[in-house]
Amino acid sequence: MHPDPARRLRELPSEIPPPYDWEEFQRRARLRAQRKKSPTLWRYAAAACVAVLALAIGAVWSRLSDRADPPAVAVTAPVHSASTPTTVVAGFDQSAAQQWLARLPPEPTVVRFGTHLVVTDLEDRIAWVDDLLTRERLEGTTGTQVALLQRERARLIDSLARLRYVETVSNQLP
Amino acid sequence: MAPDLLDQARRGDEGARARIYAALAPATYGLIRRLIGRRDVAEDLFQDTMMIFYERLDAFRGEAPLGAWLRRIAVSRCLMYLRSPWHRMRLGLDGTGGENSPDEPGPARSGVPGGCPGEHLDLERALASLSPTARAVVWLYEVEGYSHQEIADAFGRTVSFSKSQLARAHRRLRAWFEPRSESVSHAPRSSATSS
Repeated sequence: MHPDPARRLRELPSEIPPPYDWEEFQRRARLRAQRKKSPTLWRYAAAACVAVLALAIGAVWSRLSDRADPPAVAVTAPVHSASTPTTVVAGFDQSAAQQWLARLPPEPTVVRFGTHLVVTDLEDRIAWVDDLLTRERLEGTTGTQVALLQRERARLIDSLARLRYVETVSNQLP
Repeated sequence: MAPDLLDQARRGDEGARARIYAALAPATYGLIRRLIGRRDVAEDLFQDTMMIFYERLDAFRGEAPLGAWLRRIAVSRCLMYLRSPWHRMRLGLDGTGGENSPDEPGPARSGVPGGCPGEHLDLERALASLSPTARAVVWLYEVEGYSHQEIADAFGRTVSFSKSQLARAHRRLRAWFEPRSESVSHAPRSSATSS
């Protein structure tokens, strides 16, 4: 095979059998046309969205207000007397505190996030800054703008290097 | 494409439209699958493209071959998708960077006719390991014959954006196809699949 990737790409077959035949294409086209023509469906969908949104807001609101309630410790302690640590401990309602703790999520969820998108984004930004730098240099504008762009580029390169370092370190972890 | 077939299709003749579909759909779907890695999205875009094609058939003036005109529509739809904020958000949610996962069959597995299936499959995987933008740029430039200026216009960016994307894609593809020693061989692949 030829080592040049471009040539290899051109050697790939240009045709792939379509996912469905003419009859199925027509059926799908009709379905889409119907969906476009039926505004009532959109109205129902919009109403459903509003309802779901209202429910979500209500749920979040109730959860937040639940969390704001619990510190029985904080509320009851100052009532007892001068705010010495001993009285605070004495006024500590253990069962209320335990209930409050039980309502908290068991443990933070760890989410693994791929770095590919961030790397691509950084590389895009660097390319974009390079574009601007080239344009600024060609147009012969002031040195201040060029210096600013160079500083931005250095910052982006630094971020990319850090990210690569983190990737390397995390790859070496068991 | 015979002119009378085109006239019949313009008049709404179902048979003529079906024959045009049979003739042009494989190349159109092939192009969309190369530009868009995900099969489900590619099917949606293929449907969009063909619907627009038939809707605008009256506007076709015959200055270019019908297939080339359809390819323009397909490319335009794909680039609109790649530029859309929905697509970017989807990439963020997936965390895959828009690449085919190793389990997802690439276009070659879906029955590419002719050629050497093993080599093509490897090439499809290499192509899928590129970011969506880089994949589109390298395909448009190397295979579809777009110039850097045309690609820059299509993406709403500068010529050097197109050039840098192309250079990056070439680097990655070369790294993929370099003769693999034990230490080097898995570097591009692991980075492609782990992200």
